[in-house]
Amino acid sequence: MTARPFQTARTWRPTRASVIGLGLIAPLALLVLAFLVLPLFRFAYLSVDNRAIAQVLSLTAQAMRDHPVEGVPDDAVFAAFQQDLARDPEGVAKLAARLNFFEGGLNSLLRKTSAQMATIPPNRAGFMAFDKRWGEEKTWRAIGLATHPVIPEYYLNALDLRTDEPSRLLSIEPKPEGQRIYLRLWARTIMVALFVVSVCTLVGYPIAHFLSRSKGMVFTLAMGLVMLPFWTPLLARIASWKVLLESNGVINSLLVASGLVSEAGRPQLLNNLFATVLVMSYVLLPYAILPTYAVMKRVQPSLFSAALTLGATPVRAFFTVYLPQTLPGVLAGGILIFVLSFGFYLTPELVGGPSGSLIGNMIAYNFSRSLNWGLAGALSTMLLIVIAAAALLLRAVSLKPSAR
Amino acid sequence: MNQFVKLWVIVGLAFLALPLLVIVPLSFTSGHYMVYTPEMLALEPDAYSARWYSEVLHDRDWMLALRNSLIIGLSAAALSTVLGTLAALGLSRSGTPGRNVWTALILLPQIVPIVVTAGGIYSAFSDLNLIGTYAGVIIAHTVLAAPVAVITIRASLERFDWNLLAASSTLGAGPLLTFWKVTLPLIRPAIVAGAIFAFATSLDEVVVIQFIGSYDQKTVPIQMLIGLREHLSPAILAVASMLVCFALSILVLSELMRRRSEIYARKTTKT
Repeated sequence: MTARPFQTARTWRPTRASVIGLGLIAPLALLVLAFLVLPLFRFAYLSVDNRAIAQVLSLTAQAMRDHPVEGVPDDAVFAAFQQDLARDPEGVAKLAARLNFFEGGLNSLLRKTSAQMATIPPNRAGFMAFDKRWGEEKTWRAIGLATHPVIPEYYLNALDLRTDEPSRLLSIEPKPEGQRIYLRLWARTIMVALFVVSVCTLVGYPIAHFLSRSKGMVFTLAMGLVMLPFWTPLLARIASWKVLLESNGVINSLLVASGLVSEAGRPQLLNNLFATVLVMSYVLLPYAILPTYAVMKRVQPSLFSAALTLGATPVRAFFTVYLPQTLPGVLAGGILIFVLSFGFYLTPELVGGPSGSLIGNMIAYNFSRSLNWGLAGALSTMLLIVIAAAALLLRAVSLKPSAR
Repeated sequence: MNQFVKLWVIVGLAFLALPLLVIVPLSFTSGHYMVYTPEMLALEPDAYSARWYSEVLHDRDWMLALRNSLIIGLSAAALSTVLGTLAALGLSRSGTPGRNVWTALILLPQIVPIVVTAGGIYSAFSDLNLIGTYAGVIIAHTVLAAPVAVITIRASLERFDWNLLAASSTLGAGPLLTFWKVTLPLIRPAIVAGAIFAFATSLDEVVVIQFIGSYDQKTVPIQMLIGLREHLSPAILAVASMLVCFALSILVLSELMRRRSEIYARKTTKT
């Protein structure tokens, strides 16, 4: 009891061994920190940060606070808005790009307006005469959003939600039917991940069992068949599946040659959800087999035989003896596959077509095509949260058997 | 029941083998199409040829890609092996504080989805003017390949007898001499394996390089990607078959490594 304050007062003093150890780790740890961890944090930050844009609109924001109007604001706000546009031409370009993410078409409207600013009277009627979109509520909804320094807009977007007033939680509502993209993609990504986990588990479990019971040449050969795809570059595997699945590909030619389908009735096997699920299952199957195999290797076959001797049917012995013993391996493999398939990008991109694309493809699209880093950052951050949760679950599962 | 399980296993193993078995024969077609022609199935010699292999080997784009893959892969493998060996040693020493945290950090590139990593690296590199440079691609591949080297080398250090280091220092060797004369020779097989796996990781990587590389850094997988997007030709199958052979040689090599370390383990437990 008395030793306690003494212990907490003791500070950690670096020993020689700890300094050497940390020094050895430091170069690689710093590399990963600098080029992966920090950029990911910056991504997460970019997905809510709007300070630079809000700065451009500072006078407008002030005027909006002084003259609160629902929908299209009054002349004072228009005058302030015009001053803001004239003040910082570089900022206007950024503002135009950002507003376009909130409401399509605003980029060109803002650029056009700012180029001919001198000819436009600084009031509502003048702006509306220049372009009637200045009198539309949705234009001003976007500008109102852009006056906030911190915006949840990208996260809401990533879930097909919207709000007119980011400071009020209750104002969040679902987007109109036609503009919903992401909820469907999240749902599809989860469904594909779960489906791939089930396929890999069902196909992988018996193979893992077979591996754990075979020896010599048979074992080497079977293990080779599992490991060879594992080490073959992903693009080579995808190329081979494309050759198999194409409408003039190997599988369709075989189907036609065998008379199962007619020349005109070749089924579409590529560029759809089926192809995504099939090729992902193929790529991830070794991840189901290897952890299950490792656990099965440690299970004593005598327990199963004992259950049979005691009168259990093989099915009952399997479900009450063998399956519970091998379950940690199955769970570890399943969660690993779930985590990996959640972030798949290349496979759906190349074999999935539009109907087989997943959330990873949308991240790439927003990042490199539409240059919407805020939305890409929001989607990435949400993806990482799901993966971190699954990884923690994996840790809990893999710690269990050793605790027993 | 047992018969059914056996059949299921055979179907599963066939599913794993089928795609690779299909592309290798098709890459030797003498025609333009990637299906088995009746002539090929009849094993007529005229239906087979190595023309697509020679086409690849005489194509400027493929050779540029091969050269880039070697430059980038070898540099990234060398860097990640050096950094990975140091890190593996640091992570295996019992005196190092917070080993779980450091392990998690260093293995992070294996867990973060590649498209998220690619975005992160792109945003970091655009500030540093590393987009479209060899240095940038090599650094990125080092980050991605180092975990593989760390895992391989660390596994061999788990069986490492740390008393040998104490013995060496009692005999008057400094830490560097001990590393050079005692540690390094003992973990050399794992370091070699780690370097090969790191090279394989770089050779397989296409998403990050697609984000941060330019035409100049076009590698073999990038050239394949172009082919897979535009038009599939048997030339891609020839390259894919060569990559399968590369994978096969890695497989044989890692099996040899495993046997060797088993023999080593048996020897050390005997004495």
